[in-house]
Amino acid sequence: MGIKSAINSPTLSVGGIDMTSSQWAALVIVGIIVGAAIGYLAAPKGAAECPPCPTETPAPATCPPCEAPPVKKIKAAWIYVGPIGDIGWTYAHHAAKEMVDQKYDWLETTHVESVAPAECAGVIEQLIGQGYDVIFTTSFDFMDPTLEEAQKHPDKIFWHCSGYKRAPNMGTYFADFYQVYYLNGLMAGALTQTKKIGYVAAHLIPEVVRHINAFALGVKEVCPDCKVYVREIGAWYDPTKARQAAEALISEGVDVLAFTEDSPTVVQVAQEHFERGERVLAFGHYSPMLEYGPDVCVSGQLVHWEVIYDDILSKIYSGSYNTQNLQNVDYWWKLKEGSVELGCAFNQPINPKFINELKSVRVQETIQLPNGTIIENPDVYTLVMARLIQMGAVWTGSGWVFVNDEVFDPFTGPIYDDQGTLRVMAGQRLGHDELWSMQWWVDNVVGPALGG
Amino acid sequence: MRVIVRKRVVVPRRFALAVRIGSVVLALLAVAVIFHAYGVNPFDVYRSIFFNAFGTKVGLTETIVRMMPLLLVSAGLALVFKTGFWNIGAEGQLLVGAMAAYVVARTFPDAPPIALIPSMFLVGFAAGAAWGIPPAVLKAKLNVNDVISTLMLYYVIYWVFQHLIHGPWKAREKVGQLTYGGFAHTEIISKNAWLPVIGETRIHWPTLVLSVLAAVGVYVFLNYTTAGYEMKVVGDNPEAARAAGISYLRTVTLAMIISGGLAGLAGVGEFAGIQHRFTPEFLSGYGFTGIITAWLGGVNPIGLLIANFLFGGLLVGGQYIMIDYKLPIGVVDMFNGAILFFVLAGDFLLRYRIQIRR
Repeated sequence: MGIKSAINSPTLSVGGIDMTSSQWAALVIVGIIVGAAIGYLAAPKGAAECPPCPTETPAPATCPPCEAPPVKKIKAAWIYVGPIGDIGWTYAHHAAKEMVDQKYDWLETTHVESVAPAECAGVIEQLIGQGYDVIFTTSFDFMDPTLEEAQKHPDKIFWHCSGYKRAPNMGTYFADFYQVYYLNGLMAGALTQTKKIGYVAAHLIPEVVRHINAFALGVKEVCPDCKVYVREIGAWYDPTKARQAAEALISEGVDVLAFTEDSPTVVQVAQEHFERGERVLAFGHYSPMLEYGPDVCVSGQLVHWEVIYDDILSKIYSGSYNTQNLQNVDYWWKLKEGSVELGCAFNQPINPKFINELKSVRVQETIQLPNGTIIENPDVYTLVMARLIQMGAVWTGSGWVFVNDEVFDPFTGPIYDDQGTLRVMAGQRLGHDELWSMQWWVDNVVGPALGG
Repeated sequence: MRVIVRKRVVVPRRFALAVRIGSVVLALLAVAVIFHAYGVNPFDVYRSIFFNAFGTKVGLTETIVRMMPLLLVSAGLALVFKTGFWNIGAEGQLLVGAMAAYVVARTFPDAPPIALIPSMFLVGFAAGAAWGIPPAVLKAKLNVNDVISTLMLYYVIYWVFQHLIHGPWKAREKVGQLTYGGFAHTEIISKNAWLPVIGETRIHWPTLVLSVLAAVGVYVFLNYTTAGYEMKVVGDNPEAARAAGISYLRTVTLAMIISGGLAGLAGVGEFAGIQHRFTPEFLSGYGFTGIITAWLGGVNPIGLLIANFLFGGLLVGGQYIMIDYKLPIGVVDMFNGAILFFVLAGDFLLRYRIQIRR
């Protein structure tokens, strides 16, 4: 405070001592501090006499009330391989994580994005150091670092997405699309006019091969002499190569495209051809892509990781999952659990623009629904809806209802591979392990040679 | 008005320290604005970064884990930069070194660690050096631009690598009763080839020892050997070097052997010390980040240690920003980028005097 303001300040005279207001203020503050200190020192040492909480005997009134026992909290962390903004794989995991985070107040979450496999183990160490006790790693290449860390930290819980290694404190999970690819295949078989269908594939790992084969089985059911032409681009995310592959397939006479790649490029290419007056249709992949191809995107596959995350975290919270019992816990969730959905947009399994055309194509077969209803020679729209019911997901016209039952599987024999070998005997179904290491093509696929 | 940029002849120690500290403070202030815009208190964020990356046991060991490959790469680069040759392809030399280590480990899975581990480092050094030699020869003989050739050779080996792990090196894996095939990765190398680590940390100490030796070694080499003296002459004044009969080819090739070889060692450490198998995403950019730390550290063991330690901490600290504040990766990259920008700008001020004349 400057001299001038001190001069102008009103003064009070107490006991013959003149003081300015600022001096008064200082005195009051000192007084409060001294008073508080004296009060603190003079206060009865109540804590020593109070019984420990929770108490059974009535405590003296001076004791602080017993607080409720702290609510158990779970601190869960996600490690993403890509940026959240990829609108594909990482985006879908992150959206699901946010949903469960908001649903449960006992859950506290964080995430680290764009983590290279080399950094995965280090980031896990950092997360554990910050107090996280459930770790989700969402890339196949995180499998070994996750297992190493799980063995190093037996008191923490780990979940690895898309891999095949587990430990007592490490489970695995995956939302698989092959049933949905099969349904897309049914529609592709009905809508193609050239009888040539294209597939742009990221990497020909067993997961993608399984999806292409399921798609081809759907195509074959509706159009036995249609072929599926596969192009591998060698990247999970590469819009330029996806575009080149899609254009190359179209120039070879393909008029329907499906794909595995984390961008909407293939749908955009189809829409561009449509706008030039050529009919090229597409199926979306992973996230809602209808806005990129409103006139061409027939259907596709969508994911609901939150269904799996919700189940896992609820079971950890309730104690049914712990650090001892995850060795054999492998979520391989499909349509009947609601972890995947048919459609190019949520809550719209088939683009209405194509429903009439699908209803005009009939398939010579007999289908029996779980409730005993028999459908003779259904049209393709009815066939898709019936297969959905047979695989446990019922479309009501405005939403989904799930029945935890599968009476049909696309990989039911007889199935021959492209070399003419009988791979699945008549009436048999392929099991989890065969599907997990699939490295052969169904006989109507024209694709690159698959090495072991 | 003219802006005159002159090289400084002498840089006073105090001035150097003041500029270095000043540029970091300025960078922190600049990024503080961005953190504030994201609704977090910048000082809390800085405390989290520095406390976690350098002040916790996990953070400190992770910082060292990232420092080791950076130190190896940047020690070699600092040396080769002294000759005026720009090796931008250390990432490729690192990859070749790792691939060589894999071949050794796969060929002799049952060899005892005492033989296997030194062999991997030796072969890794040789492979990295071999990948570094062609650009040196091309420049000396045909005057091919060194930036282009070193960078392009990185892409060549990167795609060779991708082909191998998607094809000939792709391995099936048995887990329990089942065999899984078709995935793009190699087998895990035999435990005999895993580098030993310090206690419960992930610090593979052979690489730590080698990296510190490399930082000291390039300093001794440059300042106390004839070949090192020749490198300085070639870098400072190529004409004088030629007049004095110093072979440009020999000098630059030797520098690239050391630079490529040290990058190769970093690759061996990353592969045999951390990852133990190849996946398509084996690389994490140490070969490129090392260019910056080499520039900042120079051929000076203390400078290299500080620059790489701080940079390792920056990488780890960036992950703590995501963990503790859930800030997007873009903000983290901006934070790292701003620090880099200001530090490099400060470095420029140290080396050059800028005068404005009317």
